[in-house]
Amino acid sequence: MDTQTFLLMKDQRASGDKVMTAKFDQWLEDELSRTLTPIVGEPARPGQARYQKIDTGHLWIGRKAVIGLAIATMAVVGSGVLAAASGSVNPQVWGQQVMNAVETCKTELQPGRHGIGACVSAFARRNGQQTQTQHAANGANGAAGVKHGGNHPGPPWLRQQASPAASATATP
Amino acid sequence: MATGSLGQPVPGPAYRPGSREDFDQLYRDSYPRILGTLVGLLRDRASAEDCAQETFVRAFGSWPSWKPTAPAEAWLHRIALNIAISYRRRERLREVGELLRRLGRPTPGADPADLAGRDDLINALRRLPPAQAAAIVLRHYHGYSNREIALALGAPERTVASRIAAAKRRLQKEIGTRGHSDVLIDEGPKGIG
Repeated sequence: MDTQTFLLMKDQRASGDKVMTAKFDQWLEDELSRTLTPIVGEPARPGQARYQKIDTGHLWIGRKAVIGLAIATMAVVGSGVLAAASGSVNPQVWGQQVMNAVETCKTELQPGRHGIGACVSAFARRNGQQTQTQHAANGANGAAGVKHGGNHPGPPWLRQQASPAASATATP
Repeated sequence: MATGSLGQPVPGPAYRPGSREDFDQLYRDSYPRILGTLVGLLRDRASAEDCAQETFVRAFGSWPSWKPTAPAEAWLHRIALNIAISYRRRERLREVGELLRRLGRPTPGADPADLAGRDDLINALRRLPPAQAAAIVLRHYHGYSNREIALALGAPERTVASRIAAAKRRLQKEIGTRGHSDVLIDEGPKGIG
């Protein structure tokens, strides 16, 4: 076979491929249309969609609530630590005690040394332990403290309500 | 990217990100087409509906931050394809588990209800890798150009072209074994030389 004949056959083949490709594409489109058009032709009803059950407003409120809760928790934990350290739930008392401790630590600071953090921490720890021991002792005597299983004697109305029961359980 | 069936893409409506009404409109405009694409990728209509709903749930979650740099439907198609890929992966794992459970037991015959109404082309499409099947449906049913498919699938245009070519070769092979030889492209220059 000479080169010219070969090239001629190749050209015919290429155009034949194009015809076949077009034929295949047409068949593909017809088949897809036949199968998918009944589905695509159905109307969509947003009212029945699953996303309708999601309320983004609630999501945002939820996120804000989580952040708020985290801040509140940190504040409560922080105040608890301060209360434990100062031995009082009154913030004014914490402030005064911490200021006194800072002053004491400053005066006790040896010349040439910096930082009173360790000294103040030691004060807070010592004071906290004292308060805890004191509350434990109070709690053992107080009915509300026993009832709640903690060291805090609880609010007065609880103490009043709990007193007869506590005395009853205390009686053998 | 709204198109008529097999028609040319026309500029889609302008949706406002975060607007509930616009998302409802987007759902009305796109849900059937997304479902149509997913039917071509997944085993049955129920799975396709499940994935289509999931697509809109995910899209709705990101709707406030959606940037209209690309057509909304292309964005939805991308989400839908990712969901379909995950779905098929889970399905394969389930099938492997099922196969392991059935080992040693007599093989049950195919469920006639499952076989009924199945189209050869759709079956063959479902056996393709999801990205290839999606490219075929987007191109030959929705009428997307390669550029638009690239946008929808997050792939380069050349990758899309090669995916479509590979998909067609595989489809021709599969379809050929099912008696549709009249539409086959005669590959290879066997008669020359």
